[in-house]
Amino acid sequence: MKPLLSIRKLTKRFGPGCEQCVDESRWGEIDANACPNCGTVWALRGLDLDLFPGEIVGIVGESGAGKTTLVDLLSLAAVPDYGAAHLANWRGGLHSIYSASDQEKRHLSNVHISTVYQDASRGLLMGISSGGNVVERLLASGERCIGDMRARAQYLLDYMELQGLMDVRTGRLSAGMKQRVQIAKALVHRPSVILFDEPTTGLDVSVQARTLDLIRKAQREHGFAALLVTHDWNVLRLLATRALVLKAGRVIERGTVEQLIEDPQAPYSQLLIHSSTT
Amino acid sequence: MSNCIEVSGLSKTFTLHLVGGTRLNALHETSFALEHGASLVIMGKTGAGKSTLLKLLAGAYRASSGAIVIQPSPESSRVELASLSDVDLIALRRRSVGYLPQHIHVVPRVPAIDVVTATGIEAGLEEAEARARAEELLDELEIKRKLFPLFPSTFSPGERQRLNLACALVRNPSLLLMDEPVSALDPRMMQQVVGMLQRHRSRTGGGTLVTILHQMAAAEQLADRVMVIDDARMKAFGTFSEVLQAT
Repeated sequence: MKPLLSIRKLTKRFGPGCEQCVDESRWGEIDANACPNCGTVWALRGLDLDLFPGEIVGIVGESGAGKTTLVDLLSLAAVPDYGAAHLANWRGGLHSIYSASDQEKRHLSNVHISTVYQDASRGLLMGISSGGNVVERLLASGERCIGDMRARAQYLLDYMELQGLMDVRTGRLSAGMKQRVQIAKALVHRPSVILFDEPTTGLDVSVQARTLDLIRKAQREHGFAALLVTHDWNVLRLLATRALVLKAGRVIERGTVEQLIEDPQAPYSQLLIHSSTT
Repeated sequence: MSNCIEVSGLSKTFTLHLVGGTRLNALHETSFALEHGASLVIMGKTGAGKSTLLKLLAGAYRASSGAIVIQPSPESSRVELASLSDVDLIALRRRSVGYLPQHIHVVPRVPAIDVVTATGIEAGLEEAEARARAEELLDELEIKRKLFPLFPSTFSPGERQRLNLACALVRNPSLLLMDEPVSALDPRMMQQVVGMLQRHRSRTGGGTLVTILHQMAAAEQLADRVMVIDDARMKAFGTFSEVLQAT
């Protein structure tokens, strides 16, 4: 099976770097994001990952580990300092998505790689209706038939159990509803990849369960592959099959979710899993 | 007859980094082979290393040393677990190696019938076929029909255990690994489950079972091989009478 998204040596730093911190062979010794010599902050260092069709891969790690940087890079909201990401169904997978023109990048993030953010205000326009938010993505890709677009938005909002909220201003919805509008919006072009950045953090338990259930259902029926950034091992166990543990921008362990929860090897992974209530 | 499982020099040591790097030897230098179609029952005291061995066979634990070679059915290819990528291990588990853990993680807000059906779909069944098979299994496990649309979080431990068993069987795995599958069941239900497992073996044309059991009566009925583990070491392996003589 060929990977849908193939990520190689993805690296993002804030600062010029120095001889010490740019040396890849020494990254294993570095335990913090900031270089003690030059102060450059390394948000992500040399990440390799193959994402296969239809699977959900979890990304875990504490704040500052590089999880959101990875989401920003893959959603094309940021540019890596080096590294590549090849999407199999874009230009035959032969070119990195970072070589795309600005127009192509807008198309990629609108149609092929959708993102559901923890902070709904990053993914939604709060001043317009739920339906308007979904339709906005269709408009951006050139569709113009209002009837078709409204019907598509209605279907997806109903699918996300948001019946009757098509014309309600998004800013007036609860946090759980906003997340579901984001998922409806993310699904509108049937993307091959969805990036979930802590989609249920901050939601109360029953709303969280409902949202997770809808993500499971959507994934099963729409067949997208996903990266799931989360702090919550229960969420990971429920949705993902494989996961990476990130620390200070570097992958320190990877395996099946079952292996990482049952048998974490690295000291940091053990700390993370034993600090949770799983 | 060819072997379904070949284990050689298998050891598992946990390094507990949070308690000063303490090393915990959970399984030591274990070697055995199990033919296709056999039913192995693992017995031993609590903490002896039984679940560790089962989790190693399922790929949930990574071995510290030694090797596990699995050929789920005579028609499938032989694979060394340690050499499999994460993706291939997940595919193997979905396709042909079922694992029923001791502790059950309930999926929230999903009706019981859908939990089993979804597991069948994951294993490659069509939705209608998966649902029919799920209903058949839950009926056989005497889960009342009125419980089908309820969330498993409302189930008793015995009902959850049977639901989990249905999830393991709906995949129709060639190799089924079970950690105390009848611990929460009454004697009559235990008999029912043992009967189901025997029928599963004949349905899969000689499926292989590895089961951790504490109930001697169920073990006698189910096992044609028995392993006794004590203090992280395999103490005996053979037929019931051979093991009784050896211990």
